[in-house]
Amino acid sequence: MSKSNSNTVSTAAPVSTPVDAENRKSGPHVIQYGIFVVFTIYYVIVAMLRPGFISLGNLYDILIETAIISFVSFGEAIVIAAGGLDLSVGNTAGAAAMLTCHLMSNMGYDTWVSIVAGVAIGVLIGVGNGLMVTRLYMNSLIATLGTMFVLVGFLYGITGGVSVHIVPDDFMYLGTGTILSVPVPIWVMAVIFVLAYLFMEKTSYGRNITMIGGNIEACRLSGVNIRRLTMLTFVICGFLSTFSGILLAARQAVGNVDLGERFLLEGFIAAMLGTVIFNGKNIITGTLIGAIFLISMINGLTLLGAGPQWMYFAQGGLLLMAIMANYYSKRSAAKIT
Amino acid sequence: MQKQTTTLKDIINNYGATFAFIVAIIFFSFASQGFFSGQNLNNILVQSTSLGICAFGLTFVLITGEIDLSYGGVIGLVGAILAGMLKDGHSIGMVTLVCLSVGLATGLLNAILIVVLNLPSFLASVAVMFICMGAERIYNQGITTWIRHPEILSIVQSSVGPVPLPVVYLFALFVICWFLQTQTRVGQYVRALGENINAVREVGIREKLLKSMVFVAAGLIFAFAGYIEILRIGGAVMYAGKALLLSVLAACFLGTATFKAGKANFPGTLIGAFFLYTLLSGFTALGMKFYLVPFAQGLILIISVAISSVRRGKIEQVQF
Amino acid sequence: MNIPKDDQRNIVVKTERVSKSFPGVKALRELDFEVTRGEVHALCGENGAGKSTLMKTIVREYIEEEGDIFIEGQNVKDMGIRDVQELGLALIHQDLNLIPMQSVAQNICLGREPVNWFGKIDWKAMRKMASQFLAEVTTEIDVEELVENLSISQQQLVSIARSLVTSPSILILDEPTARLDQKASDAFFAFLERAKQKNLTVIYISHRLEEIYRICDRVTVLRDGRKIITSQIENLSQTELVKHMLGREITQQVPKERVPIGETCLSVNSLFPKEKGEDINFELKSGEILGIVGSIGAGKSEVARAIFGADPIRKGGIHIAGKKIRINTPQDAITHGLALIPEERRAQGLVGNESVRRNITLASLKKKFCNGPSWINQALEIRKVREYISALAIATPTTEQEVQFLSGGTQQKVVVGKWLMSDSNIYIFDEPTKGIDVGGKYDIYKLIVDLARKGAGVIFISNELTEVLSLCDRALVMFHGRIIKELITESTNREEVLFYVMGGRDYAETDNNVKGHH
Repeated sequence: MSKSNSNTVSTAAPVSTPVDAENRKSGPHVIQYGIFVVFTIYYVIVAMLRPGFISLGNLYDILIETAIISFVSFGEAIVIAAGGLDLSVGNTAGAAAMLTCHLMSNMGYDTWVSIVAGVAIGVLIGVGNGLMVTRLYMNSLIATLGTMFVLVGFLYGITGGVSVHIVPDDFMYLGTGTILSVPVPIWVMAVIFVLAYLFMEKTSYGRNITMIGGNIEACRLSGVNIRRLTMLTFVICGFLSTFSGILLAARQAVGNVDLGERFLLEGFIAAMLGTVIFNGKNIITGTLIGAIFLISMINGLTLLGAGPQWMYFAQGGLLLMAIMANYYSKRSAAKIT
Repeated sequence: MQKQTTTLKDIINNYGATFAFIVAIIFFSFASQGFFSGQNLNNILVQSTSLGICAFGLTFVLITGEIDLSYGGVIGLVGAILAGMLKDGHSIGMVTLVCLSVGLATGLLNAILIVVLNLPSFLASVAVMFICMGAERIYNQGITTWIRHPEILSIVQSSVGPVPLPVVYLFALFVICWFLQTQTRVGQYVRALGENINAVREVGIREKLLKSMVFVAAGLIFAFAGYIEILRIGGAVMYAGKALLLSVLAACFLGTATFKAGKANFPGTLIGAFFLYTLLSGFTALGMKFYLVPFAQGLILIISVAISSVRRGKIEQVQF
Repeated sequence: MNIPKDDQRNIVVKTERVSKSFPGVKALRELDFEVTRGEVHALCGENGAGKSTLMKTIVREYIEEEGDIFIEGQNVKDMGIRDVQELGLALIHQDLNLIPMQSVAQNICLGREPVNWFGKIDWKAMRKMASQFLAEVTTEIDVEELVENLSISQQQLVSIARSLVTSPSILILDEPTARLDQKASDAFFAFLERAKQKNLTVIYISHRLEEIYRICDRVTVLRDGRKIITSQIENLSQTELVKHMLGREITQQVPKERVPIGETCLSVNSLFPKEKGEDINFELKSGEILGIVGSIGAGKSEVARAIFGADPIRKGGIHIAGKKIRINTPQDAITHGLALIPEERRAQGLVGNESVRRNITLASLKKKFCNGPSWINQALEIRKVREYISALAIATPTTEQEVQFLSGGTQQKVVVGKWLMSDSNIYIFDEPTKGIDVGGKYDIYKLIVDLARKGAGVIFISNELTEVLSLCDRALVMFHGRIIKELITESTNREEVLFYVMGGRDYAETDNNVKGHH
């Protein structure tokens, strides 16, 4: 490519300055890894004070608890990735659990049919949320808030407020049984984790969902189907939430009416951590790690004898840490541009 | 601009929730005896008080374009301190002061996190909520403290003539908030903050200071709500704020659909709060199952907001 | 220059050898500028000449590095924005900065609402105050009307009324008529006439010849941060003015070559974009680079977005390769081979916190890189992306670099690469070289010429005349939402183009500006 020889003078004032790309790598990474550092310190301290913390039995418990909330967390993370919010995850989990238990125990349906029904209702709820956001153009905060209300009513409606106590054995196996001496919930988590990871990282759906969360207008102008993908995030979230509810019911052998709240809190925190831990990349892995951190933290605090009073405190602190890390990493990045 | 003729469609579009509210009242009045009685309406008003007061605080914040969920924790914390300090024998004056200071403190914390550090308001205020809940638990050790002083309870549980005191407080605060918002310069600026921040800057108003003041005011109002709520219940129930968490949000969002504004506003929030409790009361009067209440509340919230949002034409993302 | 002592008092704004730089560019160079009391003084210059910078420095939004600025005889070196406002200065911004859900009265009085002893706003007094100021500009707007219910024109008038609240004696207007329709324009000029009679001093930045010659007393031309000439308007012809704006011929390095022009690939018929634009008609042939020029408010971007389906249209449509096509969304446009490189590359063209790879494949992911309905073939993707990075010489260390850290020119290449990858054959570039350094511009030009050579049709929207004349085969001039002139670039020159861009009619050749050489 030969360039012709002539004077080149710009006729307008250039505004941008070329950027040294190498410099920016240090900033965000320090902060992100800070979270890992904090947790390592935490683990070490708790382990020293209560050696039982890192006993195999305890780690086992942590993992199972993590598995239970992992589904709701993955679902929420996917919705957040596209720039939305789903507040109804907890109640969806509860509704699915209740429906399943009710059908199995009170109405005598086959276990697996009941489970399918429970999952189906989660999908339905997801579709409902998706329609409100993509067709009625509601803000997802308000839309899913409304869904929460509706679901609470629905929950009590099916059950009359009465927990379902008797569940069939094969259902309980899901919660407490093991396959190859690994508890079933952990298997399910592993499978879903892989699927969710592949979905977000390796498929065009997952890719575009993340892009939408990054700049919805640029995606629109590039031909991405925003409506379809946004709807998809809500449907997946509803779908996955049911797993959390059903597995918990299977584990506790009781269908409890107020499962919802805990899932929303923990799922949300884990998802937020997920979007921050790897600086916005790899959110499924991040969410899993976030869930592990969260459960470990609660577990550790319990072992230390810290009563429930510290739980909320700790959760609040964790959340704050996560969002500050996220914010500061974005800011140090922005400073350079 | 010529004046456009208003059609029924316009009324529903612009005043959807108000319209629905009136329809609901009429419906319940006809459908059940005793709904429209003074006693019953009185009950609705009283029950809506803490919710309404708290919702006013949130409304202020919503008007500036942010959100503040910390009331979920502030109410409980303030309530616990109220009951606890009274039990320890402090004077009501002292206790009131402390409670308000707590509200001030959480408001300041929100202001620092959100205005100074620029953290997203949703997350930051939720974090503050958790911190308050934790603080509450530490303070009361999990024990519900009841208030045994009738003269103190009468701050809330008595009436001025036929009007119960809580209702007086509610309307008094409403008038103050509404007046501030619509009739003073500060109110104009607060509104401007939420709509076009550049306009505010151009005129030389200090936006950070103003926004911080809004969060602090909200904190104070939340504390007041906690104060009233615990006195109304008669004791500091654990995590009293959590029960109100969603309803306060719902009342404010319903409020956005009450008047043409489409944005948070005080009369709307008031109507929203009443509406929620009207549904509760009406359903109870009709002997319907209690769980249908949140069901109906949720549907009404969704329908009211959807009526105006559907015209937006664009998918809206949540600002994180 | 020696000004007689008693005339000093009549110079309301004066800059002496003022210089101002930004990283990489000297925006103002030892600029001398003065405005006398009561005059309407036009400020002209091409984009980047320094007009806005000069004004912003005068009102203290920017601080000069060298030189002195005097307002009403006072040196404003240590003054802030509010201080110069008190000296009587008011600048009317491009951004309207109105509050949509408040009334006109509330907007006009923002910050200065009349209150009674209690702190309560006196609505009656506010209405009166607002009406009073609004009446200076127009009588057709109701002060109680919500701003969001007004047309853009009316909002602009309200914005002007608002600036009068400080009772300024010096008004700076930056392209005030860019958004005004005919009626509002008339109201505006009536206002200016009245202002003149009240001895209000006006600095009028504009690109519109007719207006400048209608209302202004003197005109100053800036170029490259320097003052070129100040003259009484009657002593300067329109063509001379345009010539001063352009100055010496500057050759631009543009890789222009003869490209065979084929059939019509895109035909726009009676298109009326929703927001702005009237009866747009033109044809684009494959291999052709068609320029669209016009100053701010001309409606160029609106046309581009309407064609691409990014914004709705009121009437009209397009034909592609002879067939009538309905385009409602960008997806439709893309299916038919259209591509839009938008004006705001960061806000509209790229997902800033994502990698080069993800951005460049954004429009073609499913089409090219997916096995089955959605599984991304990452190896193929990375390979292709590397090819494009090298072919387009995209300056990025890796494929995974976040685009927000790239330079402007590189970012633009990523955007262009995105469309190249999706095999578009009609490209619409909206101000593609804005804010890009010289080297980057050259690369973009090369890309565009390449596209034409391969048979694509290119629409090139720009305000920089030199690049339009060098790059394009034809140029359409838009003014006030309409296409007012079509020019063959080979047989015209910058003066003629700028003349039409500024709304001139019937460009007359003089000895000084023989057409055909550029």
